[in-house]
Amino acid sequence: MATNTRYAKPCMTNLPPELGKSIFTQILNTPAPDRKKMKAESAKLLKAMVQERDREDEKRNSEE
Amino acid sequence: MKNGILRNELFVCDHLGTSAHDEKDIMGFSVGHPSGTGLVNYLRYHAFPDENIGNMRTYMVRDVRTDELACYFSLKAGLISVNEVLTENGIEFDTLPGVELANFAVNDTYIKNHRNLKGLGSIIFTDFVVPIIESSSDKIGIRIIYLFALPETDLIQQYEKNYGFARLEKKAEDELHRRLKPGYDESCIFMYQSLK
Repeated sequence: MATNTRYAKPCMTNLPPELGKSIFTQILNTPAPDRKKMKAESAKLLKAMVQERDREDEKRNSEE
Repeated sequence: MKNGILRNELFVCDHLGTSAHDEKDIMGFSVGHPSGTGLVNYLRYHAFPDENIGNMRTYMVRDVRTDELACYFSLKAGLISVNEVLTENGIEFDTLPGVELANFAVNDTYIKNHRNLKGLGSIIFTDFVVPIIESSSDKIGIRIIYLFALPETDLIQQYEKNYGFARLEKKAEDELHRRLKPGYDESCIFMYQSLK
């Protein structure tokens, strides 16, 4: 990700037919992630994060 | 604090340049992993020019309570394509349209200020990155979300476990690496997920 002189991004265009076909097959045969499950996990994390931020704010206010 | 283009209970997501503090806050942005300096450099030196000419759209995610910059990510349209092949039916040319998650970084400065917060990246990805791409897919064809991960084991595992990205089989990854010209020691790892 981003510009880096040490690493290069593989070129995903003009793929040779055999390699391209194999890559397309792999991609199209991979099911999408379970968005509902991810959303539920994210909501759980956010809830915990809000509680933690509440604790931080409370502590900060009591110190002032 | 503005509503931004997307918002949840703790964070608001907006385009780069929307906040008057963006330029100042970018200078305080840092990443925890040493191999991630490219992400900091991109934000400092390339994000605004790329935004202006339309190469990339960069999004800033801020804490709604403190306005601190918590994370940024960049998206660009992309394509995977296979060379044309002459078949009995004529020339065939296959493509898969997608969106590249070209940059995605949590601000280490923010994390140091809020040490007990866990799972920030997952929340940003699920609540902001995916909905923006889903919304674009209502108007244009998008089959996949993909990225090129730095070849760091922990980072790749995080993309797999927390964000639902997959890797290609090793044989295909090796062939992609061999296509790099000139020969680099290491290549980023192509990772993908279907949008639907």
